[in-house]
Amino acid sequence: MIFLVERPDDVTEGAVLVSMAGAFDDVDPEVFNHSQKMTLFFRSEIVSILDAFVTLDSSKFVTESPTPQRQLLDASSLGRCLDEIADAIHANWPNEPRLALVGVYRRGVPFAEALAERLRDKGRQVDMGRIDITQYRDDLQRMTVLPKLEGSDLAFDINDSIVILCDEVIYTARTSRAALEELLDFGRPRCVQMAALVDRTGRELPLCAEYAGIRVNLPKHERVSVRFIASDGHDEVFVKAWETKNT
Amino acid sequence: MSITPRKDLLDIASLTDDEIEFVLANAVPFKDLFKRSVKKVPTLKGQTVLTLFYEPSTRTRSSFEVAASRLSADVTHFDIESSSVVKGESVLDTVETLESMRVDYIVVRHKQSGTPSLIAKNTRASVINAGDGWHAHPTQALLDAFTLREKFKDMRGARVLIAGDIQHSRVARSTSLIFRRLGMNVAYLAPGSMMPREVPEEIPLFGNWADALEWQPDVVYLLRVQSERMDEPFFPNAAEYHKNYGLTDARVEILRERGLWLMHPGPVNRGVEITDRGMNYEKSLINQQVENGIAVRMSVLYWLKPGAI
Repeated sequence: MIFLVERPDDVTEGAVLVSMAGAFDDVDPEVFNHSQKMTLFFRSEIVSILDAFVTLDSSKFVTESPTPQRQLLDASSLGRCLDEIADAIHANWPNEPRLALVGVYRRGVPFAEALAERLRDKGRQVDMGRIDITQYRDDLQRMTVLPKLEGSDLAFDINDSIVILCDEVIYTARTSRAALEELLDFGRPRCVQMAALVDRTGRELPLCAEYAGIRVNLPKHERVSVRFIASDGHDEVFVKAWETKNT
Repeated sequence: MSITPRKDLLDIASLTDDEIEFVLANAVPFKDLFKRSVKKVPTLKGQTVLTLFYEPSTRTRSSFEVAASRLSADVTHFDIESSSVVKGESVLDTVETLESMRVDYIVVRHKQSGTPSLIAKNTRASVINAGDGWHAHPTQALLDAFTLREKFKDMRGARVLIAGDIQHSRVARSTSLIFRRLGMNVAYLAPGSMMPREVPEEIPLFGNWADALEWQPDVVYLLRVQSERMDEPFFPNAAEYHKNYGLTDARVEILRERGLWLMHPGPVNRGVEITDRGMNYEKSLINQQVENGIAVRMSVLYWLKPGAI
């Protein structure tokens, strides 16, 4: 990594810096000069710039960003977390016939499916749904790139059901707010709870997860990524520096 | 797939393949909304959509208004007295007024080709062309493409016969353009006086139904005959038009035998280009075009962004 961004409070700006670094694969002086200006502009965000950056020697630039990442959960501990969450839901709603798991697109969906599989193994019947929160985002007007809509699908009657909203990570809770708002436009569930594989401190809204695999406190510049067998081919949770604006 | 938003939608010709795909693909989840108890999402909350129609319109205007409401935008209609002759200057004066009102989206229909583009250049708001002269009607084209996409697994190679006053139809222009962009084949059926002079070589031209049906279309797309043109020289009268170029009851039977889809942008002239039986034809997509129009216009509003390039 060429840039070290200390506090990307505004993720957009942090992302600009990092992607500028990515543009140095084959450095041309113009791009370089431009990014020096960017550096000045975002000066307060930057902790340090490697020496390589102040020269024009392209050989010193890193072509593939070797962002350090560290593992939070390996496959077997992730599996244990899923077991625990499924056990807790099962215990919390004994004999409940109207239990539904709703995954928040994208990785909330395989997360919900993994939980549903465990609940079904216990003989539970669960309805499944998924929610794409894009239409409910509070930052759409600020986005410079629009995502394609995946669409929401709740093919069961949500009225009077018990809905567990499943999101792989809960952090600021802005996604959860949007998901909850959208869910309630489908009807009036008897109760809504939230499950997160990773519950990370840093709420910007007053929402919490009843069920969580692990609870972590991480510096702001780090991002939690979850991988599931169903969507990615393997189970893992790891932490790395923010790269893009995706939330 | 994600995409950079655009400021205006003025025609089909300026859209990239990715943009067409983006709008059509996103219309699917917007259409799914109509089945929910709350048919509304907060996507455009706090934004103002204004319809500015210098030409009368019932369905296009209300379709935009319903689309904008379902996105939680505030919707206003700017009343233009239909009797007043609108000159170039006064259009820009109007735009200046709208600019002061800080509207975010302006949906324009005007009898003069190019007016939406003129307005777009003079406002920060996103401008959507809802039909300008003979030039373009891009949201009609997008909704037509969306409607056929729901019916054909693979649209490529499908054949659409467009019948009617091609020469004076912005629908024909925009819709044939998008159909061909999506790999479909288009042919025209029209009386000589309604056939455009310059037509791309790939579009076969027919002067009668027998020849046109021999081309083996999968879809028949009827255009509305503009009754105001009926009195002009070289134009057939209604009865003549119906007999020779309209979808008569007998022709409905041919469509039924062959299982062809039927489309029409509305509003229809019963007894001219179509009959009651044609309206009740089971493979008519006319009502679906109306429903899809709302979904597609929601998708367009989602994609456009005031102040974008």
